[in-house]
Amino acid sequence: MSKFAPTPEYLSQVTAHNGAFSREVPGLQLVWDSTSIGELKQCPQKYYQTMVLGYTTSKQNFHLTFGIYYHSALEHYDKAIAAGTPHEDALVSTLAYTLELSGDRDEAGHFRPWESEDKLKNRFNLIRSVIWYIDYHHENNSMLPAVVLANGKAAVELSFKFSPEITSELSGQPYFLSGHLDKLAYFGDSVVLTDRKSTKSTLNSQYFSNYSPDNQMSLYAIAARVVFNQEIRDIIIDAVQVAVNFSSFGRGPVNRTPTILNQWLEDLEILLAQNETYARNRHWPKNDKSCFNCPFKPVCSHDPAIAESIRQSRFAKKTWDPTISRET
Amino acid sequence: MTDSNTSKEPDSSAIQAAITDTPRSLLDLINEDPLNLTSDDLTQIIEHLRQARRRWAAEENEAHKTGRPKKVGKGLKLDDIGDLFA
Repeated sequence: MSKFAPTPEYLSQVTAHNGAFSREVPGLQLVWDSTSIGELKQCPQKYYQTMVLGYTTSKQNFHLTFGIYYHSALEHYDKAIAAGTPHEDALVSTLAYTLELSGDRDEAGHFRPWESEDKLKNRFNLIRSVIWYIDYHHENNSMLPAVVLANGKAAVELSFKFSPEITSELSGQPYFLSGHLDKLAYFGDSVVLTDRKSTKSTLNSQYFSNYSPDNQMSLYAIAARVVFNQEIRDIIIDAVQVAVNFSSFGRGPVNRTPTILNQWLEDLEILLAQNETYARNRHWPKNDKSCFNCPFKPVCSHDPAIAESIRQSRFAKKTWDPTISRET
Repeated sequence: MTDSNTSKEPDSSAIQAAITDTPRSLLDLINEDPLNLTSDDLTQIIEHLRQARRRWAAEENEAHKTGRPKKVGKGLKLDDIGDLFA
């Protein structure tokens, strides 16, 4: 055991408020989403610092903020249409919703628009992208209407949690996979899973090829089949390119055969077994071939004796809990 | 199945006009407290943005017809990796 290994008590304490972690085995995560799986695949030490210790860079992630607002705005439109609201009314309602969403209020109630440090992923381009997306697809009759679920609600932002039938050898508890699907939509006579993405990049075949293979899309393809029992023909990446003067739109299919998905689950089982080794040893090793652009590079490049003081001085605490549903 | 209108950034005075002709009113409206916006204000924002999109689409079509070289959008760089998942 490394002399810098955290104590079991410390691991229990830092994960005490995170519903994804075992109470029996300190530091062992049992409920996984694509973000936490991705962190572990990229670098166990990065996973440890973000998911177990709960540190995050205090710098604003404008990609994430833009993406959340963009998703939420178009989800609002989808729900309005599914509820029978005419297009033009739904558009106005979505604009009002997006304007309020992309800001906050100070203690006196004064509105403060979201200020992004990025010249492309900012509030103006967000609003332009939302309005242009809706208008563009309405004009071209290419909106991909949301499936309406048995409860009458639009099948958008669907939280899922299911067991991949993998059990922890350390704790004897089952693992779970969780996440949020953007939208189940009709595509002709088929049902497809759509995932909205916003990017600064040109929407060409090279861009869409980034999603095959891709951890998140494989998990979503499995979830759509397992949880929603849908015969999903395709996942469609429904992307917007955000440029200085325009927003443009493109879609690309992501195919996952049953064999590919089974292999992804086999890989996951091995990964989770490796993580049990890390949890048992209370040591998540560094993948030092994955340090380029990693925010934790300043921590890992210094003596482990001062790692915690660097983390405390440079990072903020934010629990990432994959058990929290987004459904309302 | 990519869209044919993607990835082109026209060198367009019309687009600049869309940004610079109307920015005060459009930007002012967008930056206003949403609670103070009327239905007419919201309609006006949508109309501004629609006009900007039409201008851009017209420029795109014109550039396509004339074969004029266009700037393309940026390619993906390693430091944009967060961009892929947004």
